[in-house]
Amino acid sequence: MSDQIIVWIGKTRTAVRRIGACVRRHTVLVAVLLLLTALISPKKVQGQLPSPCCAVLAAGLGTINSTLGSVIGGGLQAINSVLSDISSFEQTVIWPKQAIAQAFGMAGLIQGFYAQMRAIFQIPIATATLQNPRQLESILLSRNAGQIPNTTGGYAAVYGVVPTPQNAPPPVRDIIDMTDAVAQDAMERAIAIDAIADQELAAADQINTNVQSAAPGTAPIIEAQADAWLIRAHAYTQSALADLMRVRAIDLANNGAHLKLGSAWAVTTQQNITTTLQHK
Amino acid sequence: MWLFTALFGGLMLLSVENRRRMIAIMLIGCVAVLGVAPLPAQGQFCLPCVIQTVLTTISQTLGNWLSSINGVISTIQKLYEQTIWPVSAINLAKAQIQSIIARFRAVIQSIMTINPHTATLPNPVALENIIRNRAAGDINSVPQVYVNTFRPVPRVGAIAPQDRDMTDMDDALAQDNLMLLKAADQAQDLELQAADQIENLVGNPSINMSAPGSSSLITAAAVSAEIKSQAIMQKMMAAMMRQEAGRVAHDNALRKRAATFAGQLQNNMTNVLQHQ
Repeated sequence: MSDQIIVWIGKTRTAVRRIGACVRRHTVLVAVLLLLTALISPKKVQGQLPSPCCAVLAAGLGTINSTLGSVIGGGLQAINSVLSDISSFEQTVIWPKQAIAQAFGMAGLIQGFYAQMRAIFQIPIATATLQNPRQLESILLSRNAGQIPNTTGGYAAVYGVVPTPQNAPPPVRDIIDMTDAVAQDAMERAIAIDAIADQELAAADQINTNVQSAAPGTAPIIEAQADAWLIRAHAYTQSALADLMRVRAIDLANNGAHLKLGSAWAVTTQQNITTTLQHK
Repeated sequence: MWLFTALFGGLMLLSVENRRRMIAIMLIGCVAVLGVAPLPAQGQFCLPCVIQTVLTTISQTLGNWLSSINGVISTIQKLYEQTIWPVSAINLAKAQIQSIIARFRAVIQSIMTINPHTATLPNPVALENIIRNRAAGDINSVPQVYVNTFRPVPRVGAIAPQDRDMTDMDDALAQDNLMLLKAADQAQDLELQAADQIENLVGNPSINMSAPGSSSLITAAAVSAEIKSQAIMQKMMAAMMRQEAGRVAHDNALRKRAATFAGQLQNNMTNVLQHQ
């Protein structure tokens, strides 16, 4: 056994000497082989075993997670809570659906009331019996602005025309013509106002229909338009009132003119009588 | 790296006797050592510092922003609930509406029930009744009852033709307006009903019947009703204008006739005096 070991050692020593001799002979080649080995040998990589760096990272991520949960999550939860409260308040106190439905119902109810009124005002009320008055009355109640030019003829047929210069002195003719004019103007304006009132009723119907398809947020827009129509309607009412006042003013002026003309005629008559008596 | 350095060192020792070979091995060894040498480490990288920075950003920057947003929303909520639409103020407004209804509506209604009837004779009583009953259903009965009181237009031959026309026109204008006023009376009653309904709804204590958000719809509907009321007012004004114009025209027609008669009288007098 020991002999064998001595033989193996001797063989190994011989082999090492040969290798050493070979290396010494081919030193550069061995160096190049070493270089290649160094370049193609695998690099050290990070395995899956825990390292102190991973532990720090895990602890950091855990802290970030808990911070996100408490700071961001808590903040968002608080905001969500307030927003939910606001939403609930708006839906139950400010804009409850049932109340909105009731408002729509009220708009429909109002339209129903005014539909009845409209029907009442459609009942014919013409009552004149003779030809000329019937013609004038039909023009006056026509509610048709196209009939306005026919007023003059109808008026003259019933109330006559301005007397000729041979039949009336100039002051009286002036008064008569002015009075006729204001009376006819008022009649014509009455036809126009009736026609306008019909248009306003139709427009108000349309606005009311629009209200029924509106939302609480858009209703003020429709209300603004309705307000504009209301201002317009007030203007037309004032226009009618103005024409009425003109009629009354001319009526008052006629009373004054009667006194003026009466006193003038009295003076003239007195002078004529005096002259006649002096002649006798 | 250390291994390769040692190996190349050994090879250089083996090549001491040959300078060129030793230099060649040294150069190859340098290349090999450079190839296996580790890259320089990132000396200033600090993971805990980065994590701390992220935590600071989350807790201070984002946290503060969320607190600010929460503060603003809470202020808005407070504004809604305490200043703009406090439930107490909504209830107070409704209570005030109910109070006004209770205080004024019945009084006004009772005043309007006073409907004066002062005619004493049968025909005037009948006319007064029909023109003051605030109903449009019997509107077509007005002409007959009117004629019973004010008599019909005289027959042909019993009155001058122009007077006949004017009488008929006066009657027509008067009757038309009496009939229109019956319609207007009924319209007023319907308007009063509409106003009552609107007032009842907005004053309803239930938030599901009347709420601040639904009042804009009711207001818009009420304004459209106002336009219609104004239109009815215009119809009444137009009727009044017709009536006043008719009255003035009638007076003017008499004036025309008087002027004509005066002219004819003057001519006749002149003729008579000339004949004498």
